[in-house]
Amino acid sequence: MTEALLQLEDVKKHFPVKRSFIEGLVGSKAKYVRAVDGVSLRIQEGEVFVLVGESGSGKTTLGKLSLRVFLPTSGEISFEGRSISSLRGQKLKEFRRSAQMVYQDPSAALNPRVRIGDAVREPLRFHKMGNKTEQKERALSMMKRVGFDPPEEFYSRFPHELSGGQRQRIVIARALILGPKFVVADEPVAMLDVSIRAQILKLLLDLKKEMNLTLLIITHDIAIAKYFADHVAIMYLGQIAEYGTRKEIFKNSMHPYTKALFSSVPIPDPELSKNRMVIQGEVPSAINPPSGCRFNPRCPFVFDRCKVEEPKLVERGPEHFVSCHLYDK
Amino acid sequence: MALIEVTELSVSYSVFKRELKAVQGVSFDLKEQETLGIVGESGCGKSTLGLALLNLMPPQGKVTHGRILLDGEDILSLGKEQLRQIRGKKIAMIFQDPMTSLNPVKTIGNHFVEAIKAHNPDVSKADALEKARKILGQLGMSPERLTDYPHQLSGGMKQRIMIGLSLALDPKLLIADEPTTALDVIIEAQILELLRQLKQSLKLSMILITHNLGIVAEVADKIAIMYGGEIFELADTKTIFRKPLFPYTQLLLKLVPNIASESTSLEWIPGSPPDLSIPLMGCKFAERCPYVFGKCRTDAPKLREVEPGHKVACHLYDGGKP
Repeated sequence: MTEALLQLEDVKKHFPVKRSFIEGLVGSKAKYVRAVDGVSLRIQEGEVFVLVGESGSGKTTLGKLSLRVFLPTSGEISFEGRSISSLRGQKLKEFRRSAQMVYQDPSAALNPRVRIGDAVREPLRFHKMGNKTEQKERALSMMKRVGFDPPEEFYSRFPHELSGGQRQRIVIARALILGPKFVVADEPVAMLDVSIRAQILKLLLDLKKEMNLTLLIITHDIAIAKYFADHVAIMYLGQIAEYGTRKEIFKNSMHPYTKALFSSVPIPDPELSKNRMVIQGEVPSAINPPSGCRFNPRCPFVFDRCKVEEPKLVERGPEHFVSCHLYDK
Repeated sequence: MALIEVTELSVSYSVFKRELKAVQGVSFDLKEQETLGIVGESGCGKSTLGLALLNLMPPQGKVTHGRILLDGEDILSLGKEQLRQIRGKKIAMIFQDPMTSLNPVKTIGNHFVEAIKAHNPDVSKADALEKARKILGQLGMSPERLTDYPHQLSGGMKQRIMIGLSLALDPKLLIADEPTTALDVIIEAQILELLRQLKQSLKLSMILITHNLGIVAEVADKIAIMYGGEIFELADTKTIFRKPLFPYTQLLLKLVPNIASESTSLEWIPGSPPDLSIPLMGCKFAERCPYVFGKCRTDAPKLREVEPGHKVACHLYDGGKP
């Protein structure tokens, strides 16, 4: 097995909920949003790992944790075998250089008053790499790599002069200019038009190959996993419901939540008869998650044990882990 | 007879003194109990078309040409008061974002009472609430929700309420503009299921505006493909998916991720949609079309019937092939 580039061990992130004045007076207990609640994962070097979840599942928090945007409440995250929580000073700066993020909304991720070329150059300036001419040269060659040809023509433009797809290319160029090893892309195409999405995904993948990147793509769209993933993890309410190779997850999904997710996707084919498994209800609050299995209030196959005992991720097939009591029977 | 008949409709916005032609020469009709899916990318004019059908144009927008007949009545020539009578009662709209479409300081019940009393002042509050209770039942929600405020509801429940409000006056035609785009897929499936049921039980006609071909495949009877403000292809749902003629439709179908298919290669359309504030000779899609030839850059193709019930605007099917 190849080396894990990033490893998460029982990682939790709980955000405190602000208590109201009256709640403070009567001394009610502090509440927490349990955004990520006990996740263990390994992301191998050079792979595309797709993390799928609905809003509120904690997928973005997990992405930010793995870049040390903030520290976990408990658990261990290690990058190249070293814990990232304890990094300080120069070592932390090195980590920041080798782990980068591509954001969802390219309009919000770019400063409207900074020329796009300077935006691409900014990370080099921050890390004091080379003089201004060298930085500019590298920015231009990076812009060319993401599809701006000739890059000189675009360097001095402002973000509002670009289309959504072009802006996202700039965001990608900026994330890659430091030559990172690991890139987290949080819903990289959710804000783009359908006819542009495939272009951007293809670009990310080509760059991944060229630059030897390891990619963590965070998305709500399972179809993206189908096209690009080596491994897929399905997240529900702060926990991993199912995890495995793309082939296993798509051919042989086991967790009832994964199955529901698959059958909910509208299929662009009017003649495909569908045995939809429409599950009822919505994702419960992460402040008071259900006891036992998180999915039990909505699960069509729920039985007694699900309500009391939290299932563990157990290997049920080759490199295929499922967190569900159904398969213990 | 057609419930709604749109002929040669054009809508323009004036943006910084320039004219942006958002909708150009759009024609279609819809029979009772039929569902039309209008599919296109952002900026193709599909939402503007939806607003124009209710004569709900924002101040900088104007219908420059065309006619909309609803039940034989010309919507564009009606006065304010007459329009108010039609909106909600005959034709209602569901908007994309349920989060911002409800008033945060009003209870759900009051939303219903307001909508119903605005059109029928004689109805008592108790009767209006009774009607609201009935609708909530149809939506699969508990009547206790009537005393809730919008912030107490989840996104999916808010969208149910929006649908419920649009049905409060028993309209014949429901226009839904991206009704599930703000929602997660499982909730999306629930809402689509609900729309399908309501369509059946209330005998509604629907116009579903979306960028998602998967949604129209499941709900629509016929589909109009919009690009750059025009309808380029119009046919029943099966034909659009089985025998698409317009190159954009063909490409669009290939690039929509389909988790049910075996293929794992994604295609895409190079370039991006046209800027509608710049007048363009010829076909709007010519820039990105793989089959482009001379005529495409000089003459704009017209939507015409090439097979029974299948209309397309493309020079490839004019007989004047390259």
